[in-house]
Amino acid sequence: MILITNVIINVILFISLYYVVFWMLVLLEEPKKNAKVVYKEWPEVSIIIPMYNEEENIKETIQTTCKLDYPSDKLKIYVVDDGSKDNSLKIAKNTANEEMKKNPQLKITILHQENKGKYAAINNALERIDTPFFATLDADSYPEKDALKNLLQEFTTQKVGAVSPILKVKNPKKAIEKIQWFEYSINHFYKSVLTRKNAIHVTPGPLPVFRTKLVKELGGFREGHKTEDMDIAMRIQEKNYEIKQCDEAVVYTKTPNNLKSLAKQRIRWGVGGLRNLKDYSHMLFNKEYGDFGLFQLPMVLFSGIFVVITILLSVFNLRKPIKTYFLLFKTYDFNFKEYIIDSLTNFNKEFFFLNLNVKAISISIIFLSISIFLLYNGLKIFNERLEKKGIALFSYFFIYFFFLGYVWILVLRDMVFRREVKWK
Amino acid sequence: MNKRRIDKRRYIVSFVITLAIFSLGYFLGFVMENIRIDYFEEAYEKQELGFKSLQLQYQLAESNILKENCKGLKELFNTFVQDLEQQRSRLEAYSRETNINEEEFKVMKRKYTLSQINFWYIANLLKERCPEEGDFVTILYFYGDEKDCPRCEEQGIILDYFKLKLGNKLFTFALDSNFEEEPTIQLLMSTYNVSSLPGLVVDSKTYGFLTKEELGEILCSKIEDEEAMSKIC
Repeated sequence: MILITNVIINVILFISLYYVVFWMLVLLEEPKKNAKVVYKEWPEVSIIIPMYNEEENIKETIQTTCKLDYPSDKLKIYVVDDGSKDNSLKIAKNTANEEMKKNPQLKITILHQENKGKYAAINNALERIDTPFFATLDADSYPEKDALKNLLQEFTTQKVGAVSPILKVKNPKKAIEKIQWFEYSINHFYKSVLTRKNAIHVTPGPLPVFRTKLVKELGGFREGHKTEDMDIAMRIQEKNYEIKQCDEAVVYTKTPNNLKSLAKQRIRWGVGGLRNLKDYSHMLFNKEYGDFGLFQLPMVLFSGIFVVITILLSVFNLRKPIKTYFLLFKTYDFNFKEYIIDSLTNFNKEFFFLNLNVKAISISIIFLSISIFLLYNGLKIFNERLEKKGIALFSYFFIYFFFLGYVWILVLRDMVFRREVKWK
Repeated sequence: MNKRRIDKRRYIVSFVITLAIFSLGYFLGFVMENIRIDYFEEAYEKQELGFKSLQLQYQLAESNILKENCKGLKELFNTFVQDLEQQRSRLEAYSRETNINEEEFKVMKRKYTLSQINFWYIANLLKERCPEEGDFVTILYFYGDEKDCPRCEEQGIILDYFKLKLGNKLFTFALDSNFEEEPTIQLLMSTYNVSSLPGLVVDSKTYGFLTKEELGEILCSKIEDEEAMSKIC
């Protein structure tokens, strides 16, 4: 048993390390292309805001969109109500009228449909669009003023099919939001490296900009197992178009602020991700699709499985030490002060060094350095500092992993038993 | 659209780098392993000399040449036995986590086991012949693995606890009942009627598993030293 677990752990470590080394080399060898398109005249852009029961957010979202630094006569806004049961539609209409009164050049169209899902709402607006570019914007997301301009400047060649911005958690107050703040920062650094080899597999809902012609050729959005943002990205990749991340465009988004809704969201992402991978499995391990097919997609597939195996093995391996420490503390009647004094007075330097577990320490050092490296670069991408987020950072590195493991176990369970996932 | 190309070189270079990091890790582990073995061998040699010296001094004391020297003898005993005890526990801990070099560790373990029994024997003699230095308790502790002795871990922790508190007033000698290579262990077990594990022989009286409270009570009734008493009683 020990031998088998050892082999499994080593294989996982090797593959993970290989993966990290590979992208590190990409980072070193392929500097970011900073070329930007300089438009004499900004192209026309449509922004589609699909919404379902967003009465709390929609007003601010529309207002923020109208304040975008972009020529008003080039901007068309479509708000699509997907059969909301609350006051979303009314609020959206009022806000749109107010904004158009303030700025008569603005064109805001409010559409309404029966509840059919987010993808259908986007398609509903897409049919009416004649602008060369369009963006989708989740109703709980708020772009920075210059975001749209920055995004459009990334369409450097005809091959660029979509450009995504960087997402920051809006006003992170609770620890769970701060943890996601870190997670997003590292994720966006990672995607800024993936961009260099065109290996991004998802264009999340807050303000990705698409080439309209391409998406129409692809037949618009699909349900995509409730992850239409991955489905569309996969189809863009399938056609060998480029998906880029623009590190200068920032969008603030609301994230789940309790464990239950976070778990729900992640299960939806996980199940949707795996089902989409199955739909596009002809791209997996396929070098026709370059590093994206041969390297990145298989890792998307493995990462969840690796997390689950690692968690299970950690729990299995931690069983004994936990029992030992429990018995030890019990002997001390849980008087930790006494225990610490006793162990300090009997500390033996020689034995301490002889007892070091070289393997565990090497692995920890390697992964700690990688974590620090990721954190540093994540903060750099976010252009922010590590202010008052110490506890969240600690939880992110040491506890959050177990949460994700739990989520992945549920994802695999849903995959096996084909349970349906709710998206809201 | 253009066909995509992959850079084979990068796949190979990444593999080589990863392999190099892994090999370095294994090499370090290997070096560390050798350092450990060297350490234990050296420590054992010192131990053996220590034991011989102690034995000689004891014989001299017995034959009245060093009659007045009980105190010195006890002090010497203390130092040797303390080293021995710590090394044994390290050896145990280490042989548990490793599965390489099992044979080498078996030989060393046997040597240590013999030392243990020797020191236990001499401790009892010392108690008998130098009563003024005999204010200490010896415990022979027979343990087994997780399967045949689920409570051994707890017993070991309790013994360690008292050892930490009492220092030179308590000497535990732990013997692995499954260690078939050394027949003396079985001999001692039958002599002291140890039929179940864990088995404790406290100053020649046999007990089964003892809780912290039970063992504390026994120790308190035996030890006279006030400082030691104040810590556990």
